[in-house]
Amino acid sequence: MSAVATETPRIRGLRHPFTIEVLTEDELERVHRATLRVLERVGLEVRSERIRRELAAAGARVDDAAMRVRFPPEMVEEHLALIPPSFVMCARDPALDLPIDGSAGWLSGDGTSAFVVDLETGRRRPSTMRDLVETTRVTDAVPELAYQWPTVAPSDVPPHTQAAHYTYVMLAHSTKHAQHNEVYSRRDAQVVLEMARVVAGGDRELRERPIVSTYQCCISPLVYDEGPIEAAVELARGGLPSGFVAMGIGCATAPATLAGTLVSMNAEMVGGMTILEALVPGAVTFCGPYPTFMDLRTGDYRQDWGPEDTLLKLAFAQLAHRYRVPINIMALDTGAKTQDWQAGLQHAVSLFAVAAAGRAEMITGTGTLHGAAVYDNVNVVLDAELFRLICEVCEGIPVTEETLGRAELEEVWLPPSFALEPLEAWERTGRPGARERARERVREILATHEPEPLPEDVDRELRRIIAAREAEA
Amino acid sequence: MRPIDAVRDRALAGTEGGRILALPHGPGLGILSQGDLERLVERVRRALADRGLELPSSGAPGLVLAGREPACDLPIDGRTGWLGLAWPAAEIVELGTDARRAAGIEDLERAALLADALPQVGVVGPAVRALDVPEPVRPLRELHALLNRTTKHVLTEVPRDEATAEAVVEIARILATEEGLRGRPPLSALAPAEGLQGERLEAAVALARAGLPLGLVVEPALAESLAVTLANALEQALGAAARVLGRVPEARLFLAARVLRTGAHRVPAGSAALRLQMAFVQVAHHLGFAAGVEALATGSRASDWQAGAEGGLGMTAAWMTGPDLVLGAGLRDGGRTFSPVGLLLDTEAFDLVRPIPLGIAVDEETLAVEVIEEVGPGGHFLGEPHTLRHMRETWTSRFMDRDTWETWEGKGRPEPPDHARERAAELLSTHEPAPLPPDVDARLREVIAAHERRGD
Repeated sequence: MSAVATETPRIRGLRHPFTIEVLTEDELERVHRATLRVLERVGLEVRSERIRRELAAAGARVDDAAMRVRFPPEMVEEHLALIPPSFVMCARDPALDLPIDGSAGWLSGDGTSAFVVDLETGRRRPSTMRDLVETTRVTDAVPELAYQWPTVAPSDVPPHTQAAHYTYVMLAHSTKHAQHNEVYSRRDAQVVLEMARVVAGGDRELRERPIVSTYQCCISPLVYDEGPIEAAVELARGGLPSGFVAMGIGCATAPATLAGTLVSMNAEMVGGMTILEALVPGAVTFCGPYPTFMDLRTGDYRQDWGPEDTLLKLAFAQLAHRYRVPINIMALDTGAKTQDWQAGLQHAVSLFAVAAAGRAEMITGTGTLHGAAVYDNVNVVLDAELFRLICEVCEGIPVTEETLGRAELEEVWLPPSFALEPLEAWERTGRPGARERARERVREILATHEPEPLPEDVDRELRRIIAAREAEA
Repeated sequence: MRPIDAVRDRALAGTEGGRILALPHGPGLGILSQGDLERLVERVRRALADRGLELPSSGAPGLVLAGREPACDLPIDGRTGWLGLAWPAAEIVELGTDARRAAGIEDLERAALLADALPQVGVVGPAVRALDVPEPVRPLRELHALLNRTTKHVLTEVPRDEATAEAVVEIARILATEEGLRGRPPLSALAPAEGLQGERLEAAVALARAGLPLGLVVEPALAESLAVTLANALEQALGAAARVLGRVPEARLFLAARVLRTGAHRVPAGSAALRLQMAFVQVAHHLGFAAGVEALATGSRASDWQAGAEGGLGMTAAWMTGPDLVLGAGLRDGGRTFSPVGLLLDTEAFDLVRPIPLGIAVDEETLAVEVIEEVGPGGHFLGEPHTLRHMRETWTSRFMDRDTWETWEGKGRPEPPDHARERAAELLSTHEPAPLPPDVDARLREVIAAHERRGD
């Protein structure tokens, strides 16, 4: 059964008919064993006394003075086995619930950029709350984007209130699932849970239908800061899916070799999930490998995301499959600063490879340029077309009595932002490219799309919680 | 699915000495299920039988596409793919101005020179049609222009008449080495599979008899369903193959597919074209034929986001499915124009995916557990000898932007075509392909002149 609906769907997903592997069984096993060695011998630096205390009681070897937690291999294996292999990312609108079970891949926006490209001037400027709302509305409108992320970091609200503002905007301006990646403390987690309960209708309702999921990021190499790790546990205890992301930078915060980066980042994610399952057994979790490399000539992220990035995505997908753990893979990487040839090439290569990896349930994320530093809605429209195109490729070519005997001419969908007009019309209109066509589509969405609002009393209560959080400063 | 590891072999990276770079074949992804593949082949078998033809099932085992210099020899061995220019565009995009205009023989020569200079290009076909050369003498003049500007394997078109084909064979024999035309064919030829009969078929037979490889080309036309579209295209290609093999059983054939056509338009955009190409490679390989696809075609008229996306999709499909020839480099606007800048960018797209099928090396050194332990939580790898040993292994682009945002804005917001344009101009002014030896050149000119006299 195809996950790709045919009738103007609210959400379009990617079926997974292929599985491309880059590691043999033996190599996969070697990476896993090396991961266990790192977790046993090196361990993780866990900067929360509270979590270290609980982990010591759960069987980890804790060196409190060094804030170091080492994990016996059997403890890791035992707790990895507790992770539910599937779950549902529920939405405010139940029709938009997303099964996370390997049957389909769902695309999200990217985050959380400090800058946006202004739609009218085409220039970069700091992000604001208005940008957060607009980018969220665009995500809600475009069927290829299945769930929300906090897209941009608004510079016009106090930093300690950002987690609450993100929660509000994602839930008030969209009926799709909200995946929150900016919950930096136990207090943040409590606020997010409080807001999610208000929208879901209560604690029990939220546990039954978690409309928000979250993840925490390791500080590579091998460090979990106090706030994020405490938030992860708090959110899981509140019933929300709570994943772990690693963002190793090859040559800098991860080894220069691909296998070494795999081991280092895998240890970070497996270590995080082991902590969670040890303290909240059976908690819904997932992993999110977002590797990159350092450009040693500039000290920046490598902007020419190369074949190594694709290989790592495919290898991490295999690892997650081995562990039977849901995975969120970063696709659509680009170092380009506008929607040019480079962005198109990098997005197509990475997204098509992720589709062929055959496992990515969550695919992050469209919208950003320049190594995720800058958000631009034009990207969303273009990448959505690319995603739909790849979804169709994954449908293959069914050869049946029916398809061989069909009487009417096949209709093909062509990406609307692609060049389809006659040459003369193209010349006359100033040689527009995909970028210019997509920009018009963004204007149209912003002028017309109105997401289903929250009930007034719910909206009022959320605003009250944000105001209370602001007062905590 | 076969793991990529099965083909991991650094020798697959290219020809000896690195003169030409290869695309190693990946896992051999099949877009058609085994059952669908068999149903499709059965349908084509029946359709050919209705026309009195047998389904051909063998192609060109052990084929080598030879260059003028042995370092440019390309083995067609099912393990690697080679990038090529194949189909001539009627127009060229001017390097300096981006203006479109009708192409001429000088454009053809300059494109061949660029192709000779770029190690990613293995096969040099006509990038543009030399419209300033009178039609009757054009095929041989174009062929001579290619041979004179590259030492790589040259791809030409099967002429429309047998006399011209005989002249092509004569030219090939002059260029042949002691291994003969069958052992090291210095050129091969493409023929449209649709309607391959009459004079064109006789010309193809003449080339095949001489031992020159032939590529039978289809342009799939959208039909009632993609399955029917594919079946029709295969019927055309395999029907043409059966006709040639019926006359020349030892013919060295390969099958090639251009992008999808709807009505009069060629439509690289959309998933249908991509799916058809992936399936075409799968079926050709299933039947034992080498396969070429127009993987880098774009409907865009510029080297913009669309061109990059379509190139990325085509190249990703290529490393997954493993065509023997990846054709159409530099074409824009559905094959109507050739862009020198586009050619350079397409070689970058080729470069970007080339290492993927080589997979990930996994051993004690690369797993780096000791280094991870030494660095420890919160440390960094910048000063590690392990980093120094491996930091140059990562891929580096030639045309992508790597500046900070501020520097990029300060430079006037350049895009990859701007970087590629500079490099193309540099190559055109500095690269000097090894010329044909004067005596060989004189003999080629003699053959062409004699052919032209006969045509008068």
